[in-house]
Amino acid sequence: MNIEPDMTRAMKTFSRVTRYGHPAGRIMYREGSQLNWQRIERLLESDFGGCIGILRETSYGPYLETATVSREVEVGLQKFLRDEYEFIDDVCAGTRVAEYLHLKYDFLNLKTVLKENYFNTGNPDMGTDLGSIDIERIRSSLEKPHAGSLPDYWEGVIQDIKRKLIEYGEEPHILDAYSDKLYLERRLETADAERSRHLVNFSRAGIDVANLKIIIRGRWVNRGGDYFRKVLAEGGRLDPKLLADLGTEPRERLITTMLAGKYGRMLSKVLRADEKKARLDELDRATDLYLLEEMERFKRVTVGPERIIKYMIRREVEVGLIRIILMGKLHKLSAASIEERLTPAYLSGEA
Amino acid sequence: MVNALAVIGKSWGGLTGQQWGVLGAALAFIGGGMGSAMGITYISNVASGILVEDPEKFGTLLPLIAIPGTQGIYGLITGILVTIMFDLKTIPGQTGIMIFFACLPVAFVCFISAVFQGLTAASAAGMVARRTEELGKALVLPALVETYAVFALILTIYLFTVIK
Repeated sequence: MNIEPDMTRAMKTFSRVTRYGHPAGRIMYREGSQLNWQRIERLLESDFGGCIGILRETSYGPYLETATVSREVEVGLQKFLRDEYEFIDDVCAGTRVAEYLHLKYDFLNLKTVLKENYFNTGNPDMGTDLGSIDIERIRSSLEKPHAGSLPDYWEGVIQDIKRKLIEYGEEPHILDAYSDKLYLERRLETADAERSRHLVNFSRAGIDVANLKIIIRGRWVNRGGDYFRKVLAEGGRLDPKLLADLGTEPRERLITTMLAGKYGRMLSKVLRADEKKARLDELDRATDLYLLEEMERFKRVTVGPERIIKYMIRREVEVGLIRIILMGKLHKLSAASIEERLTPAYLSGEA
Repeated sequence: MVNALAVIGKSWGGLTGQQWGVLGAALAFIGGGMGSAMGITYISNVASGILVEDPEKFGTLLPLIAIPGTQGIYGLITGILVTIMFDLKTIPGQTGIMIFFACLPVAFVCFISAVFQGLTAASAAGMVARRTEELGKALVLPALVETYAVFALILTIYLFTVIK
């Protein structure tokens, strides 16, 4: 991993501004339309119809104004995200920013198609149109390998996953974990290609967090060190080999080591809870919170890929938040009960 | 000191007083002009993005776009002052080299400050993009960077009067 020294990066500021100035300007304007805490509070206090009325004042209005059932809410929010991604594709053409953002969905589509093929468990509706590659292209590539329907990288990824499934065993959790490993490593490569220190650090933190989740969850379902060594991603700040060894250590030692480390604060609540009572969503919440806090470092960059990526990640989080609120309202949940499911960090930063 | 300068003035590249004076004037404008061009490029790129989303903001953004341009004007003023205040054809080498050094504050400070002012203005444009009424505050930030370009111009003019 080659991180440029500060002076060299400073000299490249001019080219960064000329490359990202225009998209950053457009993003700056759109940031003003992101939801703030006051608006979220109004949403929590309103009924479903009231929520739609409040959202009508925002950029979500045209997408949700006719929604009355959960399916329509989902379709509206999905369309909103798709339009946001089209906007990013348009303004960031010729850079790796769009690739960085699309990767998650491309891998999601790939996993869906592979699960259909291997386990007949994939649901054709599970795919997303937020990826850079159409899911049908992935399907046809699996039917006719080396037909050139996919870029070389993706052909390679498919072959790699197929090999690992043969080697490690054809299990859905292996497919999931190994695909996630490839996704995180590719994301780090993309960040490195953008020569952005903040983006590289964020991607590394993402790898560490994912690896720690694998260790903690793996212990809950009694996975061994061999499994950890196969699926832990490379490139984070924590050495995956040491992590894999730690995963098989007695619980007390694991807790002491993790709490003393860089991610101790993030994991303290989850690790201190009884292993059998610990909830998966608490772990997810703690790690999401941590990554959103990490992302706040992007604020230091006025013009650059960081601003664009932060905007899109916040949009995705915002969409998730609106989804939780609207679904809660449709199911007549109380405001307090819905609020419990929201993370305050969702609204950090610009809120 | 003066003797040493005279020796340097005559021997270093064999430049005359007039040539040193012109070099200083040119450098002052090159520094200020290049800095301004880069600073305006920074803020213009960002402003063009904001204007695509909301063309109504052109008037609000214009002061921010224009503000890094002042350093180029300071460079021009310095260059013109060199020709107005000194009789370049007759000045000795030691005076020429002093004029040259007196031009350096504008040449360097204006270059650096214009570039950073462009970056600061780009950040400030983000404030205006979200809330037009924040223009006042947004203008203060790049204006603070301007202070040092003004100080450089004042120093250069003061040095000219001392040399004269």
